[in-house]
Amino acid sequence: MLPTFVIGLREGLEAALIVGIIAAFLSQQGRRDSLRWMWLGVLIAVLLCGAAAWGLHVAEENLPQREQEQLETVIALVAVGMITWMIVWMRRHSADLKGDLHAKASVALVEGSAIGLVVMAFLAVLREGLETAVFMLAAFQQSDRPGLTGTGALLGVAVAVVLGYLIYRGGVKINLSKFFRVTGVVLVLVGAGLLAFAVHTAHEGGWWNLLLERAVDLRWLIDPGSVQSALITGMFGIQPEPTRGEVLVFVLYAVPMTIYVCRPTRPPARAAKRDAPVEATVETV
Amino acid sequence: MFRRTGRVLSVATITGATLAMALGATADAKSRAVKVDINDDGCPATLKLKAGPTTFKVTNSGSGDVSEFEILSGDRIIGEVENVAPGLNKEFSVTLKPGKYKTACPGGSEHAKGKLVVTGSAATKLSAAGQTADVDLQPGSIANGAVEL
Repeated sequence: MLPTFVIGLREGLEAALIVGIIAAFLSQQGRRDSLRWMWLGVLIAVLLCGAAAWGLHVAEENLPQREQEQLETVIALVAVGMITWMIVWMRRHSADLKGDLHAKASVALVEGSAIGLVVMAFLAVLREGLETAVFMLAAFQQSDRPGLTGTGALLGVAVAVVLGYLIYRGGVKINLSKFFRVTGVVLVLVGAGLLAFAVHTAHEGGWWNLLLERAVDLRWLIDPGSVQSALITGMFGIQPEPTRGEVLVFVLYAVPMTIYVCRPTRPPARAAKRDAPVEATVETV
Repeated sequence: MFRRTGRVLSVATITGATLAMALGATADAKSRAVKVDINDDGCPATLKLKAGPTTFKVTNSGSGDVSEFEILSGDRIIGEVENVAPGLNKEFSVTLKPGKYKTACPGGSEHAKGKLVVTGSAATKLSAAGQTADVDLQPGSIANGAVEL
């Protein structure tokens, strides 16, 4: 029961974390309309993945692992772009929140960005959903003790969903200025982890074969098969035995982005002038 | 951030890819079946197989530390399964050419890496359709390093 719980939790968290952050972000912006679209997108992604997994099962086919890894790589890279945009956006607008009566209005999200976030939540679920659905079907159908293994997998995913929901609720409760600061640091780690994850899945998808030597042994911290391994790998993409390539991209992203997030904010007037280029930056990410 | 058409296209592409993956995958009926068991130690230390289309049926007799089995040619993964929790079985098919390969079971304490040696030509195997060789390969059970299937 524990092994399937751990896998369900890890796979579920990889999606739930991003959805939770996006939901909190949209809520903070007062974008109830976009939030509804986001939930609809998540629901459609879940149904799509469930249907695809069922189709595979009925046709007695295996999940094409290589294509699955390639799909995960592409979506992870899109997610890194999205998260980088969120970090830059929050960073630039956090200055506007200081002592400005019209703070809420001045940090309003433009329409295109809200739609982008809705799409991102949909993709985040699609990324892990198919593999998770295939795994859950297998846990219920193949095992010699389907009750236990199936329940484990289901509980794992359920706990991941609850954690994603708590991230959303927690993100909504704290005030906007604090949300920007806290989320900024968390997002840097998530973005760096997604980049490392993309290197990992790109290798499994046959796209990346460089720097594969083990960089560091983290099994003392991320003990394979344990609940904390599911939490750490699921949220921050860090493997128990990361390769040099995974560590390299993690550091290359995390260090400059942390400095960017943590340096003192500019005065509001100057920050406001910089609004237009924000959108342009994202195009190139 | 995204232009509307680009966004719609990318969503359609990824959704389509997912469905195509679900519906378009092919099974190799003439594949030879090889049972591989992974456990907390890792992969079987050494596998020795004949060339040709091969379906690896992977089971897990461990406690869950290891749940992945990969076959690598050099550094490149040519086939793998993930999330094979204890009690589950998953399979994948690859066409093996003669040569030396590596197997990998991330998280394994003893044999996170194993050897796979493929001999013979694929042509002779293809004529023996339907023939299966079900040999259970346990880590450590192949003390002398090689089992002919």
